[in-house]
Amino acid sequence: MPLFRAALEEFAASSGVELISLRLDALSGPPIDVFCGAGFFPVDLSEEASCTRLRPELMPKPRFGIRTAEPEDRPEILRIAGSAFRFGRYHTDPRFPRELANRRYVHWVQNALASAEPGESVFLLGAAPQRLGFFHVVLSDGVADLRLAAADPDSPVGLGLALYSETLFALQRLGARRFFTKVSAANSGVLNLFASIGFRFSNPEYILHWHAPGAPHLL
Amino acid sequence: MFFIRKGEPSLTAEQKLKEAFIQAIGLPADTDFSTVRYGVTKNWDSVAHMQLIAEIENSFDIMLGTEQVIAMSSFEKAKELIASHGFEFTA
Repeated sequence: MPLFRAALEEFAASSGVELISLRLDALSGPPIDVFCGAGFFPVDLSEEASCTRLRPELMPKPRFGIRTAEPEDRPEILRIAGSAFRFGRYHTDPRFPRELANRRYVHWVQNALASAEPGESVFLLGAAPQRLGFFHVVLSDGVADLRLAAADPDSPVGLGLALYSETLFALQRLGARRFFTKVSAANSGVLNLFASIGFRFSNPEYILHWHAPGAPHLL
Repeated sequence: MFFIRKGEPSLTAEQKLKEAFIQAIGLPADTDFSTVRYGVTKNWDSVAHMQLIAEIENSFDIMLGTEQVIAMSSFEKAKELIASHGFEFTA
């Protein structure tokens, strides 16, 4: 184990890397303590949430509307992306600056909005000019990869369920037959949301971080 | 749960609204409803909120607008919004 730790430190010193992130199969992967002994520590547990048949009887009736994001929606989407998230490995890493963790999601959405990949979209909840939340999705061969979603944190009430269910209906109309995503097990709100509309959970993974000694950008 | 027998007076608007909150959010019947607020009241999340909207629309036979769905952030606010559909709430 000292050799493993030394190799990590040597790699970090030569490459300038400050943080290494690792996903471990929680059911059949190597024991987590192997990595903890080298300085890794757990920051999250993720679950895959999936659904092969939407059940409209479990979902609220669509009422806000879903539309594809337009250029004029960009500032508001970036505001939501930069302020809505509380979970995920960078937000739960106590040494990772919150501002950087928020900025990661802003970059994520900027890239998604700029992407010209077929099947990749950023949807918005609400008829223009309402922008109640966004959903970044990739649809390919009938499989919808639900990449990132956030309802407006400044809304007086939570609209997460409306955002998810209306996006799922929209994807179904576009040909989606299977839906999947990864969720943080710490995010009980979104777990309850997926459970309420019939998603199932599988493939739990530990997410570990390792910090380089003296990393200048970490707290 | 309220049970209404034939010949008994129907529920007041306030009773119907309380029942909708009890069913959707899982509040105990002895809740001080004047303190019920989104973000403060336990279990009032986005799932419970859409259940609450459905309960209210069914109980009062009304259709809430999207702005009303977004604005319904407390029991008191709900009374105000439902009153705008012609229902009376006694003080």
